[in-house]
Amino acid sequence: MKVTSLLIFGIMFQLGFAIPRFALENGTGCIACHVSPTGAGMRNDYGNNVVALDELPLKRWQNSGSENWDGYVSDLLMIGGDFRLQGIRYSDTDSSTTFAAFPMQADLHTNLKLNTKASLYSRLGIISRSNVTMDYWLHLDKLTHNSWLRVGRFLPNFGLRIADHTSFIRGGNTNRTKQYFETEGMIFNPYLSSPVIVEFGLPLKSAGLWTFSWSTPVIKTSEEIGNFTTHLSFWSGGEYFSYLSGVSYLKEENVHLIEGYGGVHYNKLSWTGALSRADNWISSGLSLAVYQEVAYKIKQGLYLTGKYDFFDPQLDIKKGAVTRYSIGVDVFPLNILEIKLQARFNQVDATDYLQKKPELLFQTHFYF
Amino acid sequence: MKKIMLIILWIGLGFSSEKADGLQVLEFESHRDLTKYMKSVAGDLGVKCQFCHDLNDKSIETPHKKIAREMMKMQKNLNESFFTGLADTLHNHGETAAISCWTCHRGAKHPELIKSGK
Repeated sequence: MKVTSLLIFGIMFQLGFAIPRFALENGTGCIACHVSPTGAGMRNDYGNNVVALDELPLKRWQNSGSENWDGYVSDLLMIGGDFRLQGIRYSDTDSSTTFAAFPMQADLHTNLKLNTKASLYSRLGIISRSNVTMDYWLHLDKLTHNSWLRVGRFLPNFGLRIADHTSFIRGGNTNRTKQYFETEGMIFNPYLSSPVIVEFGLPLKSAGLWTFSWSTPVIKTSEEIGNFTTHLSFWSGGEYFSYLSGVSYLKEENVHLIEGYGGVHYNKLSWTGALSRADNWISSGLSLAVYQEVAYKIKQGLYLTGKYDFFDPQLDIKKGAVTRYSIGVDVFPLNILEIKLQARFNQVDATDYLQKKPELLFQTHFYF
Repeated sequence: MKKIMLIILWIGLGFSSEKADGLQVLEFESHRDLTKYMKSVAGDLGVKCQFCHDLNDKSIETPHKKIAREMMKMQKNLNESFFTGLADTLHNHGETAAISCWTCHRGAKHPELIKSGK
């Protein structure tokens, strides 16, 4: 029975990932709101001063935000931050329930603009006293055909980069489930160290992006170049309808990971989905992960969400798959605050267990 | 790998002598003031930023951006050559008369140029 509490206890925090739904709604790429050319993490002036201030929060408290904040502390230097707290209530047995609340991660970002074509970025991620991660890169922009080059330490651009790492297309839950499965999700778990990487990006007529990168290994530790990742994405849209789509491929030694994803937005309804498969990620088998999310925008600042996650560690073994159903609301009361409430049901084939009581999650995300 | 990074860092720093400004018509001291002005323009026309900007690369020229630039020139010329003086001569009480996008657009993408008939 403990498997349920273990499954649910995966903490949810962001490690260079984002909410693709927002890009989908606007029919743009992630770079519209983020400093990183592949999205996620620190928000740019448009993300801070337009989207976060005017288009995201509940209109009721919209005036509480400051129009003077756009991330710039000088003409060249921007700062930003993300802080997350989570509470979770779950049942080990049919009669007992447990509640836990804890901080998840603090991210501090800086971006120094060297000129119109070059910038230096850093992110300090504090998970705990003993677990501090750091990303940094030099970004050279507007090279030939408007392409760009990034070098530094960061994760390769792969797949639908959703913030919730407990989704199996990313890394699934954290290590408490490993006593039941060798691993429970794809490669991008929250404890990955960023590799040394060179990444090249080519925008495709402002409605697409192709990136490819070479880096030191992501899965294993080595100083030698051992990872190749490429990502192709397209997006487009108008006032009511928009879409995004993409495909990614990652190769590291004999591990091959491929993900296809898509999303459609119409009026107030958005769907995003991804299918990810890996060869030799778990033993020498074929693993499969599925992600589906439907979001309905009730009004500005308030979303109703439903999510389906599936992971089969080894397709040739009949048991072992995990399915998770989630429903929740996503509220943006202020321009610096996101609140998530979620109920999740897990089903584990390995133990024929179907969870009767949902686990309840309460997550707050402060950002600036 | 580290050597490659250092070489590219050196090249990147070499770029840093370039002018960090892409403005052609507007003159603002700070990026924040520019953003404030841009937001006021969007509000005056009742549009979002993507009406004129390609959000994937805001420096890209778009047809609406070119029109906006011409409109800003017109507004600036009128304010400098006519309205400022008008305020001085007619009102003479220290206030400066000036037009903005709102003067004609009134929250609409396309201003009503002549009175609509009934």
